[in-house]
Amino acid sequence: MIFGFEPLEVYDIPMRVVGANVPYEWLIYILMFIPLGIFAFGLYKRIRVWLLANGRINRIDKLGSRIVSLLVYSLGQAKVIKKPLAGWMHFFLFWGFFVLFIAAQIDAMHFWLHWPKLEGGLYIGFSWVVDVLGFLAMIGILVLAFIRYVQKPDRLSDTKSSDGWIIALIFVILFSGFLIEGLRIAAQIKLATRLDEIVYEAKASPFGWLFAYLFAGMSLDGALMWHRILWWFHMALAFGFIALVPFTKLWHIITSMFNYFVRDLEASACRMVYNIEEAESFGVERIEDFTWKDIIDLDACIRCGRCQENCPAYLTGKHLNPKLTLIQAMKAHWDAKAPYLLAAKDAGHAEGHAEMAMTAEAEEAKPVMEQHLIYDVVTSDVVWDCTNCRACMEHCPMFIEHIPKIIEMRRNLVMWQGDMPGEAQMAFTNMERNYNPWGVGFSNRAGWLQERGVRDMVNLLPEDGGDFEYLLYAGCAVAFDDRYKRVGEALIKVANKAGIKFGYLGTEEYCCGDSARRLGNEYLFQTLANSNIESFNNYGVKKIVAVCPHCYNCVKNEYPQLGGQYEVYHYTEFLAKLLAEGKIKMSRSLGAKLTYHDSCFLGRHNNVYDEPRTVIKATGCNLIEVERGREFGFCCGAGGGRMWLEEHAVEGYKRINDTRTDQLLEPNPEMVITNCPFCLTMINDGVKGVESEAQVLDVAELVWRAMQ
Amino acid sequence: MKVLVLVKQTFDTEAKIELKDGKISDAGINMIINPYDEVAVEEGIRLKEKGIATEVVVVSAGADKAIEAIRTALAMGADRGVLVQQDVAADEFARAKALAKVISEQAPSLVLAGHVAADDGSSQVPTRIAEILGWPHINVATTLEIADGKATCNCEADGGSQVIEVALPAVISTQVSLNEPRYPSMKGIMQAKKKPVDTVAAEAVESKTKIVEFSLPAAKAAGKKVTGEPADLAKEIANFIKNEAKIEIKK
Repeated sequence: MIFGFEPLEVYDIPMRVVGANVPYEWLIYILMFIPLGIFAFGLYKRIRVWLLANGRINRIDKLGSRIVSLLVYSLGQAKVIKKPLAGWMHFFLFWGFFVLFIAAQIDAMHFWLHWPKLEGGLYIGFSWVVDVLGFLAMIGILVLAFIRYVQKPDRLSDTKSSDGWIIALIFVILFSGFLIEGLRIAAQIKLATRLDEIVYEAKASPFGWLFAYLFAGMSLDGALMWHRILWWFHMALAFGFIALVPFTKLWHIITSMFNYFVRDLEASACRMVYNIEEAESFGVERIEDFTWKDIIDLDACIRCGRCQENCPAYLTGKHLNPKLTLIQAMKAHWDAKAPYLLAAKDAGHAEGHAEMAMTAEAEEAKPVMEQHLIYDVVTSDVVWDCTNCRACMEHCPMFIEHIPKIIEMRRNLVMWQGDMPGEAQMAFTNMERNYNPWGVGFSNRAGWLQERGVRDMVNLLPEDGGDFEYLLYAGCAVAFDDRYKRVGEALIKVANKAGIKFGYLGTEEYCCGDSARRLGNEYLFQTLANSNIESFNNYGVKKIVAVCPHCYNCVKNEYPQLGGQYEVYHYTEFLAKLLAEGKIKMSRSLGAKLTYHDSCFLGRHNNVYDEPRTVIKATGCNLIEVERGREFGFCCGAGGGRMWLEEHAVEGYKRINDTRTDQLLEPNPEMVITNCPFCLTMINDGVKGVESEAQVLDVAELVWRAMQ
Repeated sequence: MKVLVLVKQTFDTEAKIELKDGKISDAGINMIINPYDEVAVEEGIRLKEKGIATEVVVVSAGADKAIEAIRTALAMGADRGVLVQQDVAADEFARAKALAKVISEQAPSLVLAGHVAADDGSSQVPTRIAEILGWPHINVATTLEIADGKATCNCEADGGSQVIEVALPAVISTQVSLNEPRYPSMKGIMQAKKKPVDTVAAEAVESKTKIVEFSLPAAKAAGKKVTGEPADLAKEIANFIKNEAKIEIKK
């Protein structure tokens, strides 16, 4: 039987054919250990390299949610399909391969255990699913190849030859599979005495049946011979595929599963630095000081470029390109450095490069080991370019965490190297001395209440000290920016009419610290945050309404890291709530045509998209959605502390705020509505620059207008 | 070459000045290094980074809490500090005397200081020190070059600038345009905690001047709003300019 084989037959009942007509078919069950061994070796090698990471992070809590995440994002491809055409093609490719893989497992199981038996209707149904999904996978890979090589979107500008031969390999595996099926069916047709003995295959394998037509003219012996040849060819390629996984871009099949499991499940927040007083270094200066999650991220990047095509810095010509100048630059550096780190670890030396210098590889070793992550690999321009808008993280199908990496490097630049733009120094000094980034004397923080005539409508806690339900965390912009004081005024008047008297901390309210933290000054952030938490607790604050989305995100998602737990609303959420409760009554319908700008920290960072829109629509305005809205909202340029840094336009591009302004003015609106003091400033500058008649207003101002 | 930098601890420039019992109240006020002196500290550190200075010593005369200003300068990168304990009410004469004594003990090759303090704005101390020590002095320097035992500076002069060269040791007062002071990193702050700061008592010298009284500038009066016909309004405003504001109109 060793040299023999089961002849191909026409069976009495519909039945799956496994291994018939193939001599030495059993051999594959031994040979398969070769690719599996290579795969296991590759996996072991990569995991060893991941374990070189020094940074610590806990990502194995909440197992239930992690398992759900793994299933939703791998089997459900929930993030991948967010990009319609390429996403759905990948969905087909994934499911086709997945089902074909399962089918192969069932065949193997059948070989060893003679179970399960696939016969009759079960066979027809099973075969149909495999056949159809396999065919869709083939369509998928062809369309993906079309996108990469014919459409050539900018996001795929770094196409490599390996991208091509991996596509070719996948296609040939799938296509040869169908040829084998077609040959097998053609042979069975020739073997059959009557066509209706085999006609069930037209149902069970609709695409295989079509392929069988190709071989209608071939002799039975010819078909059987080609069937055997292609069968081995197909198996060799499939084994090659498995062996290649850890060493090529196919590795993303595994890293994606890791990342779906260990992704950040928490609300958007910067990573906490615990015991900062006792820290001995700050931020990340050497790539191995990142956490293992950050290192897996480098392996997980499949270079799809969705980050790039949504990055405001990249789209305005800056140095930052989340794919190429951040993640891929770090990956290349890591891949070059890791072998030396491994060698050092194996030799038991912490400082392995001194040892390496003695070897023949010294000349090669030196540059990599001496390269500075921030200055030589990523460059400080890239680190400072980021606006923390989260578009990259929102659209990354792999849950790569770009912002935390940028912030770790900023922390090192600010707190360790002492190297930062002069404007950042100024902002820090201002926040240190006067608790606001503008640097206006803090003693006048409550002065705007008098100035805008709303002093009696709030409970200024240090002076009035009465009871209150909601604390108004007005933020620095409301207190010190003349334009934004009017937004604070409007909000207080709206609340007042709804019968709500806010508590307000006045001079005891400090800057939330968002800009400090995102510019890398963690120490200053923690100082400011602790002061605020102390004040909140002093006055028994439970519920907070924040005006600025940066304060909102910071107090809501980051203060809990320091023990400050409150019920936090952005004021647009608060207004939507009042509206739903019927406490806000509009006096007139404004009827204006307007566009709305989703701020990044309300939108992508906190998924608040609908509440502001509900409130805006309640004023009777005609809200025109711009092309880059909601999850695709384009940053104004001021996030991540960039509000305080100068943005120099790159030749051939507009600045970020001007680019955004053009998008918002495109439908020719009468008004542009924002929900954030930084956005308001940036968009206002943009609108002035193009001499448009459009008014730039905040949601609160619009509502107050409609209530008068 | 040893560089000695004089720093004064002053109120934050945005602080709200309030009088209490006829004196300036420092309750709830953030204290900072006089911003002009901060530039001098930065210049000293840069001289060290360029390999010209070997040591940067920061000296401050004032209350005990002035040590915070010294620590900030050490966090920026200065090497050690000397706190000269002196009543903050001491006048420029007493202050210059006390500092000159410490300077002669420390024997630096160069003394740097901001040309003015942001609080009293008297611009006297560096000049007086140069006089007491008998050293050459450059005031309000906007550039500084050190070579062959000489210092060369560009200085602001009325309606222009002048280039002055002096032999070291010398006292040079700095203008803010000289450089942009650095922001102390956490690394600097941690290292500063370990740097030595000596405390010495100021030489007992009587002040030669006495502040008789402090007063705040008059509060800004509210504006006046006029309404009516343009022709009448113009008359009313002209009348206001001439008779109430008493602004002379030159013809």
